[in-house]
Amino acid sequence: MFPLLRHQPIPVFTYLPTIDPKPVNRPQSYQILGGVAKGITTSSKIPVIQSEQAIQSVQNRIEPLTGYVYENPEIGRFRVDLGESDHREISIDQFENYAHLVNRIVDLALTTFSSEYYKYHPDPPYILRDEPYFDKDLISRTGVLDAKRYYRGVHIFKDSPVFVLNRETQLRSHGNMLNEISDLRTQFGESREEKIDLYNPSQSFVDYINYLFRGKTADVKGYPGPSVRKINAITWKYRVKDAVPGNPVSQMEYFRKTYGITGLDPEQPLVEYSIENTREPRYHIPQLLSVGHDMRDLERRIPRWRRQQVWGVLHPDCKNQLSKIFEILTKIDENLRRYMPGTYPSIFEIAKEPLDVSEIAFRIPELKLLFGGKDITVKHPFDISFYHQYSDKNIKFAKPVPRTKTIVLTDLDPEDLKSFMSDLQSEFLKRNNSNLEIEFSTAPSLASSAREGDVVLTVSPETDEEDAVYRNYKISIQNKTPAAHQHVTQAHADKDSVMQLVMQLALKLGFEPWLVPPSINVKRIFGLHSYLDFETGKRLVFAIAHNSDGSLLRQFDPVDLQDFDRLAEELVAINEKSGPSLYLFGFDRFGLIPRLDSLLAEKKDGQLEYCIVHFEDQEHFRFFETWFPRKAPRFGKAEEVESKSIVEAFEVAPEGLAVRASENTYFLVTGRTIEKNALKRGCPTPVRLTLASKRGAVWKNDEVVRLIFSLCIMGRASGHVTRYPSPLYYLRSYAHYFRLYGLPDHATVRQKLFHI
Amino acid sequence: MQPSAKNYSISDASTVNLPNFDDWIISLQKISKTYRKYGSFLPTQIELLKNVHDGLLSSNSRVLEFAAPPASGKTHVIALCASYFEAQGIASCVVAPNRELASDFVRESHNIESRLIPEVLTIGNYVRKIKQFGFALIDEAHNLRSGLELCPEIVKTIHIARESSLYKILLHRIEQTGLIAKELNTESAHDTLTTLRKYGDFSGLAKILGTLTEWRTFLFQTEQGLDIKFLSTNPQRRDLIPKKRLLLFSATPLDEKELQFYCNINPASTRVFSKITHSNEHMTNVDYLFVDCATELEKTRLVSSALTGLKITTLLLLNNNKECLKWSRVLSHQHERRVITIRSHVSYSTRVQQYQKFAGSKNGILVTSSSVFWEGINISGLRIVIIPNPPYPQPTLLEVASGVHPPYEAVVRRRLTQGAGRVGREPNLPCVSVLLFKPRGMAFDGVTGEAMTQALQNLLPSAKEIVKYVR
Repeated sequence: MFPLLRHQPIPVFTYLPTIDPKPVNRPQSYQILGGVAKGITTSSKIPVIQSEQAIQSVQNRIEPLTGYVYENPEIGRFRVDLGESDHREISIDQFENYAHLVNRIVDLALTTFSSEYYKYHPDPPYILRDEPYFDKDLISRTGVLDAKRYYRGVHIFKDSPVFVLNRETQLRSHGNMLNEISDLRTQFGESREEKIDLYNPSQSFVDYINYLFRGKTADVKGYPGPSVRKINAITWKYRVKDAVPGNPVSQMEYFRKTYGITGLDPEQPLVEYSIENTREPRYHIPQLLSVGHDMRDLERRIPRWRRQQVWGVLHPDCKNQLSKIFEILTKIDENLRRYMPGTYPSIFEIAKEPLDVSEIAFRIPELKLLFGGKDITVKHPFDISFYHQYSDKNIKFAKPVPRTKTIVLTDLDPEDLKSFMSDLQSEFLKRNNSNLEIEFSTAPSLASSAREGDVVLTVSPETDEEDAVYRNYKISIQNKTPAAHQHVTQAHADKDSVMQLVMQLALKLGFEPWLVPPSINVKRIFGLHSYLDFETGKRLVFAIAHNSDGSLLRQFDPVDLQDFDRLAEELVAINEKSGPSLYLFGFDRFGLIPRLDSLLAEKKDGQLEYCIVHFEDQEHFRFFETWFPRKAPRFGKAEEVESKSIVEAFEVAPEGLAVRASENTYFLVTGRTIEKNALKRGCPTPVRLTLASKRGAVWKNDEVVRLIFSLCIMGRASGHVTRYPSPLYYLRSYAHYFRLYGLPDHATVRQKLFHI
Repeated sequence: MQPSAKNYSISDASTVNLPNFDDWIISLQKISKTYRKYGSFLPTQIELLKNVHDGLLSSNSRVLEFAAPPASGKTHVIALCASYFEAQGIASCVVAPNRELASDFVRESHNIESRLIPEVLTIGNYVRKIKQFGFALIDEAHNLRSGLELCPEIVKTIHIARESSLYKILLHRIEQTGLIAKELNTESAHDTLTTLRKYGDFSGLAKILGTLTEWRTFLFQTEQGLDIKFLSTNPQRRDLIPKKRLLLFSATPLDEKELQFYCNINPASTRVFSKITHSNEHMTNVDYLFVDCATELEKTRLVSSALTGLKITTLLLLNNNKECLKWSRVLSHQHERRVITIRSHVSYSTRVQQYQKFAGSKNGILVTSSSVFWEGINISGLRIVIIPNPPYPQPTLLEVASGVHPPYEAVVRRRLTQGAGRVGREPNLPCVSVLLFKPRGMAFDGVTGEAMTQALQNLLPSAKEIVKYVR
């Protein structure tokens, strides 16, 4: 975060456009004007933006005013003519407009004014920079390339505008998807000692490719068009030169005629995908697609011994990130001084020193827990070792599980699992002081097996069909029977997993591994999660209620958005009955906070005590090691405050940090996520919480923040501090389960944390 | 997908066709010139050959490890076995930890009458040619702890001299921690290599950049400048097992866990024979003494005085370069003409030149920190070895990278056994092995400085007979 040292009103020329044909709705007109503005920025080298139904330019007038064309295969071709409206100034008070102008000027500094390779990213808040770190060998084995994208944006912090610059890694196909598939042959062929023919591959290679690509999204390359939202399969049954069912023209021919694309490999396989509202599969050409990847994709493609180094590229250490960010900031500053001297720095200027947050930040020094009837203090670092520190200690769960019968379903030889089962039983006994009975199922069906036990434990080998097998278990067991289902892969059926498994079993059965000391003032804590399925448009609200010691009071069934008021009445009734309550909202996409607030405000003649807190992801932000604790006067030799790490890649992140951005807004960095081989390594991203509304004397901001921090160690499925407090952590897990597998039939199951 | 430590099944382990032990010995006697010269093998050689025979016939393990004390005649046994396998049609090689020992083997091969002399390789060369061999016999195999890191396939090093302009550019990367070693994350390593490529003239950079995610990168600050070390993370690069069998020989062998850690050899593939104890490492013609000196000054004064007028070849084994130079300087005051110094990290040719000078003298004092002289090497006529300090090991790069502390005491004992074993290699030649500190868990006799001086003086009459015993 770099303060805007100067933010004088920006003079702009405003134009009113006419669009032909007329857009069907307002979002479409925004899309068209946005595209035209970006086009003029590039061609005329002046900052131009779309603002509502107008176009604005900075520093220079737009010339010519007519004849602009915007074309998009999804919505068509439009002609846009401009008419000059006025010349005015946009002040910082018109924050969104002002921020948009600053962003565009910065974009220009990095693209048009820069000799290096930068380009606009398809997602507007980013600038893409060709800054690859993957080596040739890695690329040739994974088919994946890395690039860096820089987030830029103006935000309000400490009641003043700050320019936020962040650097992230982006993964995509090496060239195109065909090239990627071709690259993947190398590693696959080497591991199986076979030579793979790209045009007539073995079934095992076809299965492998489908395992890697199924469900992925692909962007088109080389022509303008919609992306492939979900790949169903890569098929060698039809080739690019072939006509496919329902379409007499081959894909090669179609693209030649429609876009003039030639030189495609005619023998390459086809990508099969579906689009909404049609059952017939569609086909696309791998050579014209580029797939976006994530770390999990890479994890499937690279051996364990190589991961640490690759993760080091994806999540570089703080120092490296900072130096690169400063490098870009310097570039912006230099280019704007040189090419836009009338605007920069005289009208606005970005500081070269980051915002000092030490005055507004405080660190949670420790977290307190009730574990095994004892008060336990968890100190920094709040990492995953917390729970595992108790591996050898005979410490019981806060609310232990009574004797439990487990049915094991597996195709593996029970003899091979003997040691694992024995370890599981010992751990269960250690934590609950009760026995875990284990019986290998001989029943003919999943459901009949499940009826015999309190828990069904499935153990399966890791295969390409792993996801399907897991899904089948969840739908057939968890959703159909009253038993709790727990799955473990053969690779994890070992001693290292038993602590985690026993903890998850306790939660699924409705018991409590550990708790937090109950709050004196706050009696109930509610979580609310707004769920939107982008594919089906389904809108639901998930809710959960906890006691103030973090124990589960009730998990509610998800309700349709239109039934929210009924759900809200239920929550408010608990609030009325129990006393001061805290409402934690995840991203409020449906605008529910004002509705709940007005409902709460009406109760008890406006005397009901409550506090509503809104959480939002803030992945654009990072708090690096440059954050120091507040300086205190010292006498004699100054103590060192910086933690030192032998390994540069694993700097100490400022976990347990709360930064007050304004009176009621805080950024929280709850715990460190740095793990050498974990997918989520690197500096943790903060969440922003806003105290949206509060009534009653008990709500002191810093105390609310501390309570929320303590709930971040109650997401007990993980065994470490989570990014979100437990009510929201659990609801996100619930929503994820619902999206993939639907809901359990049994109400008793739905009221427990069956989804973790 | 992750290649794990090699674990071969019994069925694919290959055995060699060996006759029964007595017949085998007869066939070995026929090709051994040493046997013909002395009329017998040493009892320790017979014992070692018996172990090798048993191991090859009774075990299907791909890796067989044999222990035999220093001066037990291992070199000849290894050369004999390798020649025998070669004659059986199995491509075999002998692997030595350094060039001096490799030269010893080449010389030893002249004592074998065979048209099929096996190839003698250093560890680095062996790793490159591994798949050409059915059998590999590694001498002084405990050196695999650090010796593997001499292979450029496993560790690559770029040295930046202190006076180089790049030194300052790179130094800031480690200054922030104040530590002498720091691991660079891949992105930093990439940027560092790109900087080196831009401003320096270093070979092999393109190759590392092309496979950078295979390597972990470390910066070390030394007296001479900065070392950038790249450690291969690919466990297959440490694969030492040839097509058929790997035979490891040492007086101080690595255990199964160490073999797994340092060489990626699965313990299930390993069989260890004839473990030796510290008591049977000792030779009867050597006095093993220690003087518990309180200070470094006491040590230097004692040695300088004890060596005065003692015209006997003496070896002083030091643990590091700095100590080596210090002792060299101190002893030179009184024994200038006798002192020959071979510090660490000198070129092979310099080392050989200095060593020849020492070997040619009758009363030379070799002051060295070179690991070559700590073990394996046979210094003809050597009667006294003095070790002033416990030889605590430098951690290997793999240990640094894994955050594993080396088994300090075990390595110290190993090195002391090896160092003390540089004398007494002629059965009837009295020798003295002296430590200037109290060793832990080793059978050395504690004596006063005067007693030690006397023990050295007692060697003098025998010194006249040196020539008689030298083979």
